Amino acid sequence: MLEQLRVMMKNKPNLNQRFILGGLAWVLFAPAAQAKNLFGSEQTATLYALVVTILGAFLAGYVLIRFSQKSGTARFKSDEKKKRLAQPQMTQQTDKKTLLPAIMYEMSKMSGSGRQKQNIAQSVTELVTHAVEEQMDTMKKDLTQHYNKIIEEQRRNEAVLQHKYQVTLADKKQTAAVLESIAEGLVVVNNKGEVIMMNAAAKGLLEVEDKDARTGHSLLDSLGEKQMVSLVQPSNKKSRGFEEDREIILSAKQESTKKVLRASNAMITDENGNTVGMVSVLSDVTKQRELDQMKADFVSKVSHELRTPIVAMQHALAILSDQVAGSLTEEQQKFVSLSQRNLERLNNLINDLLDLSKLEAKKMQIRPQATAIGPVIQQVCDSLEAWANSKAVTLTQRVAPDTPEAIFDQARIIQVITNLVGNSIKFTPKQGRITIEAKRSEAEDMLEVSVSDSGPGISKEDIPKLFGKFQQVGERSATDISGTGLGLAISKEIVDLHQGQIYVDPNCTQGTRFVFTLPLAPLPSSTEPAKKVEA
Amino acid sequence: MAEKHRILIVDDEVDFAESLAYWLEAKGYPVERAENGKEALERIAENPPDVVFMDINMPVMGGIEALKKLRETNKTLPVVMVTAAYQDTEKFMQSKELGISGFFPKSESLNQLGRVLEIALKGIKTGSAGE
Repeated sequence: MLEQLRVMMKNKPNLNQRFILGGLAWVLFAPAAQAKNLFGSEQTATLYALVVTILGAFLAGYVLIRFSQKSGTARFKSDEKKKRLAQPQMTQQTDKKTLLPAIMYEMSKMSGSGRQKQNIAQSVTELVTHAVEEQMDTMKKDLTQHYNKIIEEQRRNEAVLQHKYQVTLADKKQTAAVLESIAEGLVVVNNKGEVIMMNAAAKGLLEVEDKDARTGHSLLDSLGEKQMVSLVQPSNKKSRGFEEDREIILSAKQESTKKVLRASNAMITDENGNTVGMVSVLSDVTKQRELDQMKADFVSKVSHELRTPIVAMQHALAILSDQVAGSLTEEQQKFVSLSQRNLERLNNLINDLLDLSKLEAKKMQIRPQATAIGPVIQQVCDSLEAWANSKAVTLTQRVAPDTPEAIFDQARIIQVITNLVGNSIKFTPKQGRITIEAKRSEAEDMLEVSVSDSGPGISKEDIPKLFGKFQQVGERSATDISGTGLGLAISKEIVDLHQGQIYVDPNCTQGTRFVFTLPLAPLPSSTEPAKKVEA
Repeated sequence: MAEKHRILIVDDEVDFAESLAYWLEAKGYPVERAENGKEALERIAENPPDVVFMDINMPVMGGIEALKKLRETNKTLPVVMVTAAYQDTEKFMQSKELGISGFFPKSESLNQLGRVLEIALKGIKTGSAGE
């Protein structure tokens, strides 16, 4: 307001303003002139006049501005606007300077010494300026504080964000580093077969260039391997989680660079259960397969090499025992028989080893067909009868009359039953009893064959070891022929190949009862009559 | 059984051949021996036997190759292939195509050998080498 007054003073007042100022002066100074008489002293009167003048000046200024705003003194307003725009900060700085002349001007109209008027004007100016400055300072301080607070908060937020970003980045880098550095190849593809992620090991295994392994690139394009289709195209099987491992053979021009990879695949499904991709963990099993082949070749070679001398010895001993080369005394015959028996053992061991190596190499072929179990059991009993008799052990067959035919490879199942019955003969003391039973399983639609004996039984701790390789449990009599420890392992493999099960009956309280199951033939064409043959 | 039928055993496994020869001789057959296919062909050329027992795997010349060469000149001489039971079936088939009187797996008993020999000798009477 003071500034406006000052500006008004500087610029020549227009007609309206002059009129108002004149009116105001008259109203204010008429009483001031009379005041000399009222207050008695000229000084008191001057002070009164001064205060009235200042108030009047303020009032006049206020009225003027209101008036000018309303009447639209265009020139004044536009000038003022221009000045404000041009030097907005000048107003504050020049307050004191501009205020003083205005007051001085008003006071100059009063009586009294110039020095006094100047001092009073100075004091009033100081007071007003101080008040204004103080107010300004407070506001400034508040504003600064507020501003600083906002800035501080913003900085804090930024720091938190930065920290979070760094942590996330570090996590991401760590995960990427871990995936990148694992020895197993890792490939993640979407359901279109496009690579989402592929680590260094996978690139090495699949011999994929970096450019081909980039995200979004179809793995099929870069590999061009038929076998790889199985890797990159999730199967249509409704599999959840892990699929069975697949083996991929990466062909190469040279046999030596051929690779065999094993891929363990897991489907990635969305919340609706749709397959959206697949994670494959690849491992190079080339060396493993080579070793397997070497082992199989070695076993085959060793078996051949071992059999040749055995066969030569068997024939030589047969000539002796058949008395082709002359008659033998009872003593001589006894030792020839002993040699023959042990050769047979050696031969069986080699056959077992060969069987096992075939089974491990998954090379054993079975030719299952619908067969009646009765004659098979009979055949086993016939071949083991002499041995059982020598121990005074009774062999009993029990085949239920309604026993249906089952699907199996006769030669292989004879091997299994012979093994089970042979084991029983070995472990059953003299005057013991062995029963071979066959019937339709009550629990499932299978043929159940069991061999139970009156032997010492097998301790519960030993049962899990039974079907392992080279396992022999329990006490064997010193005179008995020891086994290879492979018989049950081979029997298990054979029964597994037939989709059956083999186990020790846990409910058997006396002796041991081995049970195995075989799938039934779809349409039983004949039924075996009940038999009870004492061997 | 014609006692005078001469038999040639071709096998590099001397000990095996020894038992075989002894058993056959004990049954009254004169036996000659060769240790590989090449030697066997020479013996056959010199003085042809009535029946040949031929091993498959032998050094210098194997049984299959010897049989092939023999059949180029002699289509009727009965040959029994002596095999290890574990050998692959491909070789059996190959020798079968070339015309043989039978097989004798080494692990079989010598009594079985007698039966195989009988069949081979019947072939002589009918004049055919094959089964």
